[in-house]
Amino acid sequence: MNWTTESSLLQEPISEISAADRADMTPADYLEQDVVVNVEHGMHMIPCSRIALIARDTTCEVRVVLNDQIADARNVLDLLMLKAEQGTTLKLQTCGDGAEQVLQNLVALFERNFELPPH
Amino acid sequence: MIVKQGIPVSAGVVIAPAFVIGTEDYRIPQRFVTIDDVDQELERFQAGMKLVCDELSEHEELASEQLGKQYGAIFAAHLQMVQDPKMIGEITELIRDKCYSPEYATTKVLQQYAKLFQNLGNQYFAERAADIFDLEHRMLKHLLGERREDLLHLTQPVVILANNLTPSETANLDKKFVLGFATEAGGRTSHTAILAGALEIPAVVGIGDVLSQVSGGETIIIDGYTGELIIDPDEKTLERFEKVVHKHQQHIERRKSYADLVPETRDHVRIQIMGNIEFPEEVDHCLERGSDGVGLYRTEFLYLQEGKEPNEQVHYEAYKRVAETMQGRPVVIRTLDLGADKVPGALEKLLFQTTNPMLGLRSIRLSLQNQPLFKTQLRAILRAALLGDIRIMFPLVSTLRELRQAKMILSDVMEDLEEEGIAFRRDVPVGMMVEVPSAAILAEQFAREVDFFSIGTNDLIQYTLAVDRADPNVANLYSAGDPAVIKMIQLVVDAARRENKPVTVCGQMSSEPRFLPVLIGLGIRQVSVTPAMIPELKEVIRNLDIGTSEEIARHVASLDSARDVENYLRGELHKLCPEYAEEFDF
Repeated sequence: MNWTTESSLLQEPISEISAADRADMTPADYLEQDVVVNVEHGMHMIPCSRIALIARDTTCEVRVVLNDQIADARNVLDLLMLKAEQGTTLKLQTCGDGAEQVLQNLVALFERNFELPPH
Repeated sequence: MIVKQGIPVSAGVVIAPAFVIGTEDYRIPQRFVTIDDVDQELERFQAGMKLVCDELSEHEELASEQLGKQYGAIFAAHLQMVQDPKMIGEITELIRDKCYSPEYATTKVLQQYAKLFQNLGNQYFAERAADIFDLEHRMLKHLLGERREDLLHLTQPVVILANNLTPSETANLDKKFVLGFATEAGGRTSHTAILAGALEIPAVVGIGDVLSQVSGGETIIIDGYTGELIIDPDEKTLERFEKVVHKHQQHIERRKSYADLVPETRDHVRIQIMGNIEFPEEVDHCLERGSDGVGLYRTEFLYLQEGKEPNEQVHYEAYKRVAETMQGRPVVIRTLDLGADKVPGALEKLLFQTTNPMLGLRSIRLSLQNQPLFKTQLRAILRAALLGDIRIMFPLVSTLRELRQAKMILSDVMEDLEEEGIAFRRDVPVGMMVEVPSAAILAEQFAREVDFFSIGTNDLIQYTLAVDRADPNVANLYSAGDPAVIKMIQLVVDAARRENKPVTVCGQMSSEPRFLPVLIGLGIRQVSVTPAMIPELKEVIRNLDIGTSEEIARHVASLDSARDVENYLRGELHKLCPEYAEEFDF
């Protein structure tokens, strides 16, 4: 990609969690569950914004992971940047107060297919 | 001195200083701020974002209500995006650490995201860049806020130079200081053309690049007869045009005496000449010239002026004013004739998803799909109809089913009014525009179900010839003289005659003197025209007789190209009204 120097603010890793923090966290700190994207056209604006809505409503850490990409679920643009197409498996991770409930809510969102019209 | 050639869309000549409206929709006035101002600028940014969020919430609600949840969801998603903590963080950082102005910082960050999306390599995701651009515009609109309005604040008479005026820009202009328009883009039916016609000031559109050569304040001549735009005229040119301006004024004076003339042919056939209006104020222009009524009252400005959907009372007040001023003369109100893109509030999003708006959700189609919007307008029309000879006209009807649906909604509205005990007129005549070939072809069936037809030639030509006049690559194919267009009109007139229903021609074609003889020859006895043209057309009518007109129509039917038809008609006009033709240098 062709970045000008001023674009450097976008060159940092997608997640806001620093590399040091990430190293400290063992996978055991996170509750996690795999979900399959069943949305036509993949994870577009509308499903991503619904995830962000839930993530912003909680104090716990919410991440969506695709391969080596980690997105902070509060950021719609980060979620979009995962470019998760239909059929992709995503890993949902939550950590902190009420992590279990948040994870369940997110999984339910995927199960209801974000209440998008059936395709 | 620079001379540019465009398309003349509104007659007259004017000499005045230039006032330039920027090429970019959202010109950023300032890139950096001083360090002392940073806190204040951050506050301004936050306040701007709050307005954006409020607007998006309002749109979400409106869209969900009127169009369904899936449309509301688009705005909900935009709302989440503008609240994206990372994006807000990045913009804030640029303002705080680099002293960027909020506008500049916003553009910077959003453009980078847009670029990221464009590079994602998946078509569907790449198209999301458009959403980002939309957000950028929305944010800038609120950040620039009043500063943007300042651009339109006029204190002295000027001519407006712009790339293409948007309805909201023109609605905000202080019209008493605007003496003329010139735009780089646009065609004969563009918004600028309609507005200039309504204000009766000269206008030239489709000039091509000109903004790069003016900065504002230069002396500009706009010749709305020839389409010339002259920047910084030399002394000789200025002198010549001052004479033209003088002559034009004399011409206007002379035409004033025509107000009381009866538009009757030499063999005493009375032709009805009515006016097309857009603003209620224009009824005065119609009356001054002795118009027989308002044959086309376009109601779009009600929707564009406020930036939000007008309520029933706003509609009612406008219709009341027109009906009362016209003192019992007919007033034909055309229901909403806009594309979804132009309707304020949530509906704008629909266009975003269509590829071809001219063939998409617009006009009566939009009204049928948005019944609350449609019913509000119909209620106001039915109520105002008690105050004069108001008639309802549905635009862009292309199938009988649409016409029947529209009429059914009209009777629903009547029932509602009756139940609520609100006074209205029940026997309002209901007509339709014929502007789609399917309506012309089935004119006989349609004629049985309406009280009148009005042929909208602008759209009829566009849809018959499949030509967008605003597209310079094909604009030369657009002609009211095309034999196919003439034949379409003939079809409609004949069908209406068999069903004994009146037909009006209300497009641009009927405002052009050279087409009047052939229209009358085809059997047209009513036209609705730009009010400024009423005196001229009266003069043409008084020089005509039905026999000659029918002969002209017969000869036109034998010609097989638009150019032959136009040349022939120009020649005939010369013969019929030599004085008139000379004055206008035909």
